Amino acid sequence: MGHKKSHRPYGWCLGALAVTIAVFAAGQLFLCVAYPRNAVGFRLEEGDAANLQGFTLQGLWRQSETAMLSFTLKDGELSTKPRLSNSESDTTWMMARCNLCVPEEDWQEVDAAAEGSYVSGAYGAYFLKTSYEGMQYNAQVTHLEAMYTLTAADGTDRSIRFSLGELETAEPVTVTAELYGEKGNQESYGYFVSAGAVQDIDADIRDVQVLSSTDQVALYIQGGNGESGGIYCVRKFCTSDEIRKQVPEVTVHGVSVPSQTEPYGSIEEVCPFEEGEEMVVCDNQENTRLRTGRWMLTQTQDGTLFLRLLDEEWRPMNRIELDTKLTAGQTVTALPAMRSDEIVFTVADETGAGKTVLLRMQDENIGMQEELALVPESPPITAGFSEDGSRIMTVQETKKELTGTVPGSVQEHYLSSQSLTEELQCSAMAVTGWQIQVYSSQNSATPVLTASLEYGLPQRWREEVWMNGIYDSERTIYLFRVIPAWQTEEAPA
Amino acid sequence: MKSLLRYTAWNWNMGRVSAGVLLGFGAAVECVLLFAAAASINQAAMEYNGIVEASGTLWVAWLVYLMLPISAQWPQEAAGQKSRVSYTILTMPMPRWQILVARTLSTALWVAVGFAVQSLLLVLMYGPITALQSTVANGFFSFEVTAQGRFWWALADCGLFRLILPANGAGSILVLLLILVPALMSAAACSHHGRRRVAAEVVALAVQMTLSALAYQLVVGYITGTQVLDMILKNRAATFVSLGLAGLVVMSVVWSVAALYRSEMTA
Repeated sequence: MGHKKSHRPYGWCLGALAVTIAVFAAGQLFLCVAYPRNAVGFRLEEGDAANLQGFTLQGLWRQSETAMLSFTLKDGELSTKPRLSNSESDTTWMMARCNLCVPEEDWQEVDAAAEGSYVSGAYGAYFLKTSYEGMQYNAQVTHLEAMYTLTAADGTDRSIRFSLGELETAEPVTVTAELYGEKGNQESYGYFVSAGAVQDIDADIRDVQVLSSTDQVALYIQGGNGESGGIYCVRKFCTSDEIRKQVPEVTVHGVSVPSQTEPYGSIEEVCPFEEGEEMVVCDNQENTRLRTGRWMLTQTQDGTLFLRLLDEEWRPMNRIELDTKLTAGQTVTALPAMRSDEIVFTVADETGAGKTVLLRMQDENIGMQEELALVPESPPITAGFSEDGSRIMTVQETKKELTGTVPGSVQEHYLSSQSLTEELQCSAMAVTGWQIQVYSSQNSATPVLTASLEYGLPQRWREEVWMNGIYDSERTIYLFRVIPAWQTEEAPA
Repeated sequence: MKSLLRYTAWNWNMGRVSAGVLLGFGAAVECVLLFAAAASINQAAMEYNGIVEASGTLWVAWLVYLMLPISAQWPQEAAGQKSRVSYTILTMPMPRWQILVARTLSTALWVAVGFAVQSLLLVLMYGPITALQSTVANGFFSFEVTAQGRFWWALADCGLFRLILPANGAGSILVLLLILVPALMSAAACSHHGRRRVAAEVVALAVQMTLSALAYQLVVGYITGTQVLDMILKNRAATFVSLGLAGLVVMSVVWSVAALYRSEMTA
């Protein structure tokens, strides 16, 4: 009997064969048939449009379907019937990109909630997911707005912009620009256009500085060649990817930037400078308190400082001459103010000595002015008048290494699994704390310590962490988040 | 034909313990790795595919894939020695080349079973892994990804899963090659004895490793199945390498059939 059994050992073999075929068939059925059709969904997990708290966007569509994507919003859930053309080939790759357009004051919240990745796929299905690209915020609106650019096989783009409650299809090439601040992507210089039209970037290279890439793209262009400088706002632009498709790259100031053969944007001069006038310093993203307008300091050729007040569109409101003259070697630094109507900046020489100038504005003019001595060992972070202007408060920085202060989970948050350099850099940032001390005084000679605050990561560093994490690899998912809880210990003496 | 199938089934059964243990051990290790990866906060925002890749599961799958043909083949000969009567009764009426075919089929079935186990594992692990991931992430995120179709999406986006379950002709051809070529080479190696067998096994493993390197490129998404076939057809160097590999396989088969007939004559 056993002999016979060994001759016909089909049972297990056939069973395994059947199970294997069943698994493969079920898997294929699942992938080919059971995909959630019409299931690109946008769902606010919590909060509402104003709060911009966590959200999830997932989408997928099958190839060989045609027409455009259409989104609808209903009961807090955005759904769509995905239809996309030009994707007959199963090797078509598509990219989806989403930019969060949020007001500046909501950055912190969105930072905490932002998650996403660049996802692309082949094999007959394509994936659309929220993508979060570092500092690529646009603070144009107070409601959630997302824009998608889908690059099809033939190289054409389809852009969809939608907001909560409204839907709009954008022009195919007017998507978003990858413009960042001075610390960010240097491709921003490639977008320089002037005189309302695009010029060859090789024709006249002048010093261009990105003043803002948040609410709108504003550039400062230094005067030269007999022309005065000024502030320009970019009104329309392409992505760097789009530009690369049509133009070769050139090197400007040692930075590789795209040149162009065809117009790809437009620019408007919003604040022309006097001849010989140059920008010295401009309030930047750190100065978030000055919401009602902007300001910058300029100097003429003889070193006289001027305060230029600008509106939200960077248009000139007033130009005030200050009783300060800059000498060679002196640098001017803008500080974040405590109130929206105050302006603080320092003028320091090479040793760090100099003065802090504190201004309170009133009807576009200087209402109060105070100058404080600048101590190199303890540079001010900010300063301000009390409500009635009788007292001055300064916040000074004390550099202090905090040891053993970082919870393990925080360090892990700043690690990236892909790049050792990033890892070290981010860890190094995470383990250094900052302590700032708030002094209150009638005058700068007798400061009294009134408060002490400790921060794990200052906002400025956070930006750098974002930058460091995002731009190395398009395909890498990085996770960064600031955890407010910060345990500190004094280093043993 | 009947005798071929009977020997195939018998042959397959002989590898049940060793291949089963290998598959079971591999699956257990993969589970542990997946859970460990999902429990790490670094992976809190990762897609399922990201966890699979970051966990090291691919390496385990690769090792199992490399070992499976050998572990399915080698015990057969030992079993053949032990139950020589059954072996002789089964193989006596068969032409020698059919022995190679039967061994290839039985090994191919084991590799296919291995693929099925791998895909099942990925499906079954999805729930626990994402649950654990959500638990870990809840401490840090104010939301969780619960959009419709996440399960489908996770698997459709999982490179290993899509390698095993391809959606197009090119992918299917590659999977068939991944199953059949190692099976054939391993079966061919088992036709030899002594040093020849070692040499044949080395060649078989080299071919299999080349194929697995290609599979890795597919899994991590560097290249698609269609692109692979395109490259083989259009790129001269790729065509040359592919022809070289095919030549190795053919030579190995011819060598093995010759060995089988020689052993018959010797007997």
